[in-house]
Amino acid sequence: MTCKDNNIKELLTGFAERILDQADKQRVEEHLAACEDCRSEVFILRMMIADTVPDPGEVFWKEMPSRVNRAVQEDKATIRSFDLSWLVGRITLPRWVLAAATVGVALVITLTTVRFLKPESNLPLSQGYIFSGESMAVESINVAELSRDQIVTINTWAGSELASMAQEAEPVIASGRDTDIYEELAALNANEIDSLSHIINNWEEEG
Amino acid sequence: MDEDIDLINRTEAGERDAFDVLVIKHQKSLYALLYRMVGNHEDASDLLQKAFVKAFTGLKSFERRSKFKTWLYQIAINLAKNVYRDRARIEQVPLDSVIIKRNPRTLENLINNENRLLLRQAMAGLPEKQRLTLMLRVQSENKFEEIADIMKCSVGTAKANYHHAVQKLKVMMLEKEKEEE
Repeated sequence: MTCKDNNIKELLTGFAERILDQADKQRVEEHLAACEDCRSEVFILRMMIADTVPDPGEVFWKEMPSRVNRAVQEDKATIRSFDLSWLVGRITLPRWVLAAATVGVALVITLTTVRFLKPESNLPLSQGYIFSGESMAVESINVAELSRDQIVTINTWAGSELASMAQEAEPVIASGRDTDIYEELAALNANEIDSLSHIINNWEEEG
Repeated sequence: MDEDIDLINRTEAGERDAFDVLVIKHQKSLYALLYRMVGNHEDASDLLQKAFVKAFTGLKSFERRSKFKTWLYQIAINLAKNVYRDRARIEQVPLDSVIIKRNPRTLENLINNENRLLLRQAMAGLPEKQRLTLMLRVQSENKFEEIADIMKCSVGTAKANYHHAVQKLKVMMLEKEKEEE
């Protein structure tokens, strides 16, 4: 039968731990003599109290504050390198802006590449142009000195390169939907996040 | 002023050593609770460190309406719950199938390794709130008021959870006694 004596029940933990004063201890002992329910409760409590936790040793306790310290510093460093929140405010742009930026970057790359060409080169660009070490030197090109054939060749090549980029960007432009950076970030896998983090760190280092 | 609150104020003022004092003060009792929850040193020490790190980094969110110890225990228990649930899933033994072998000679003789293992298994079979309440009461020597704060429940609920936990463990023992008779 379950004992309903709450005054005694309150004392059982202390009794099991042997920390009661003499008067309370005697009260509990008298009760236990007649109450099987409380006797079994004390038995369980004493078993739990006796089930001590192994002491990991003084070295462990002494090192814990510095372990916590190190972990806090490591956490801070991790948060710094993975905190993309600053990016959020900057990349909430319409998709057409991103598409236009892509085309712009492509244009810059194209023009930069053209500037490496030697005026006397007769190689058709559409078949690919292999730069020799010598030809890699940056030289200014006077467009007026280029032959008509060279200009047509450059124009054809650049046109085909831009057309393929524009084709890729077209669905983005057509959708007209604003970019949700949270969606984009959520869709990244671990490797992509690593790569993005790496790029951002490089940007930061480069100022 | 509460000693812990003073140490927290000093920590927030940039006195990093003050937090070390808090770690030293609470680490043993918290480790004991965590060890009992997860059952091994590796997880317990890892959780202990994580709990202190989380407490340090989240110190600004500590509203000081409760004791630091209560708040720290809440953090640690939440961290341990995931690990503990995994362990419990593996080790849980239905109460009905757990048998504590009682030695009729003396109470102290009953406390042997075999019984301890069975007690742990029985504890794993208790509902989480009852198990935690029992651990906090018996093994961390908390008052019901503190337990209620840690478990975010009323004092009455804390007492009820403790009572139910003890009753369930008792049922297990009584069943064995009947078998012996």
